[in-house]
Amino acid sequence: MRERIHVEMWKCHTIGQQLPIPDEESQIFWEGCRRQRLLIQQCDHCQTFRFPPSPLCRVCLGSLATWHEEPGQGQVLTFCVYHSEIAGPAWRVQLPYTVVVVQLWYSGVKVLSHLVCDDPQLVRIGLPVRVGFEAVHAGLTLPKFFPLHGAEGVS
Amino acid sequence: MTPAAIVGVGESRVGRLRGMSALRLTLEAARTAIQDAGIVASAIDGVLTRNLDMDVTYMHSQLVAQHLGLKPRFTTDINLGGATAIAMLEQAALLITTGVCQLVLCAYGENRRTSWAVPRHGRIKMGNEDFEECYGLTWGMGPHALAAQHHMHVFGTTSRQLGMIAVAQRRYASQNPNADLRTPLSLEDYERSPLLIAPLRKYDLAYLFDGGAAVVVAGLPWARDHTAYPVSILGLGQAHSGDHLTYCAPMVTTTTTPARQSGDEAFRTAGMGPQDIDIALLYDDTTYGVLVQLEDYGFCPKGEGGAFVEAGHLGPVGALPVNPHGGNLSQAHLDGMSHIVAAVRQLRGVAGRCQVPGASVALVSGFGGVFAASATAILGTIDL
Repeated sequence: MRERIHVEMWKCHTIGQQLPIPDEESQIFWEGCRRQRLLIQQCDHCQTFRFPPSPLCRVCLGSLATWHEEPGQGQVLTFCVYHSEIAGPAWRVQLPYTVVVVQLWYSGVKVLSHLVCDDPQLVRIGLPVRVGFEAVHAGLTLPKFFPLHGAEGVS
Repeated sequence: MTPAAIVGVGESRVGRLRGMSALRLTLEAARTAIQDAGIVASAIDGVLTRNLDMDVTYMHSQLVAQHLGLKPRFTTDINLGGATAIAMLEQAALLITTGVCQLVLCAYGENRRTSWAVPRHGRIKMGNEDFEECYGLTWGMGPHALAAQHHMHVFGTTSRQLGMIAVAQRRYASQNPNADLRTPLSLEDYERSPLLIAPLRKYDLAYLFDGGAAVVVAGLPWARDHTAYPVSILGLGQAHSGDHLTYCAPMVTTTTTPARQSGDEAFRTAGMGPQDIDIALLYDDTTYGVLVQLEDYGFCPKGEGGAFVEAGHLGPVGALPVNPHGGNLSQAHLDGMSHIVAAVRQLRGVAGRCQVPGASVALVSGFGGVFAASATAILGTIDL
């Protein structure tokens, strides 16, 4: 209970687990996740990949884009580990959880997600990872990342 | 040189103030600042406020003006998160130097501590709801933890060095009667505290506070004629990384922030450099925020923030006393407004037991939307 007394002193404390609400920009992305495919927008004009989904290319301001399937392999650029339910009580059951920023090798985009890994010693910057998909409910699946090779990073 | 000056400052009570609306806290701070400036409220012809996160209000600045009985020439809301305070100061200086206004009130109040989880008037859309919150990443502190980890990886910065920032600021706060957290904190306490978002510990993170703070800005000639202790706005800078709170990934995978550009601009307009700064009031959502700004403002080379802190420079007798009011971490988290108020009190020499002897030039900073927006002001009492 001691933990709960002080977590309410921070911002961003929400009651439930916030889930994405697909909108006109993102619904193709979330539909892709539901079918276990990581879809990334590529500008038709200058070929720049972009993420999260957006109406315009920030490099050339072009509005036409094509969705490409990203193989979903990359490496960890940075990470942090939540040991407290500072994000709200809904997160208590998932503690500790690891938030990562992954740079994908194919498209080069940086993706924020969870690293799902049983061995905390394995988690490090530079760790090669691959995407996987976790269904939250029938209509929504979240992309998450897993170590690319089971033994990678153990020295 | 910017021919504008701060002529009045005010602060409400801070801490956990259940039942105090953000509006009431704003007005309490505004009244104190107006009294401090020694003016009648009706002389104010510019009102700048920050729209609220919680009690989301239509035309908030006009509501504040109405409650103070004002009919301003110019009023607007400005919101750059933690860069809001300095951005308001810059807007006020622009209004004054262009002759639009004579006396501008910048007023701020929030009650996020006691009202964040109360769905009363709705909550502002932060932008990170769809691609970050679903992974339990809390805005503000979570991205700081990601950036700190990256900095540690690249430069070998340690948790203990971050802890020294928390300890130094708490030591100051323990001398500040209007600080919320005054219990002494040792480095051992810090190292025993829980890793809430590793690599950041409990004392690396700024709490939510309720409170308000306000400043009155005037032209320098008017300030010289009408007030005893004007504090000149010597330089201003603002820079944006091109990111938004919506998605922190680009911001937390670099070791440099827009504080570098915003600082360069402030130093250039002041005709000064880091060596001219007596005290720094660095915006501190987390201890890491302080460390990265020490580097980006050029107080030490990039990557050497940890060593700079470890050398004891941030304390009262150090080379660069930092956040001598306690900062967001220990005094109150008011989006940088309390940093301006504290700087003005230091420069006037009326900071009581927090006073840094001989402080005559201060650098005050703000960070908004994690590291997306940086704003910098250089304030001083030196004769222009």
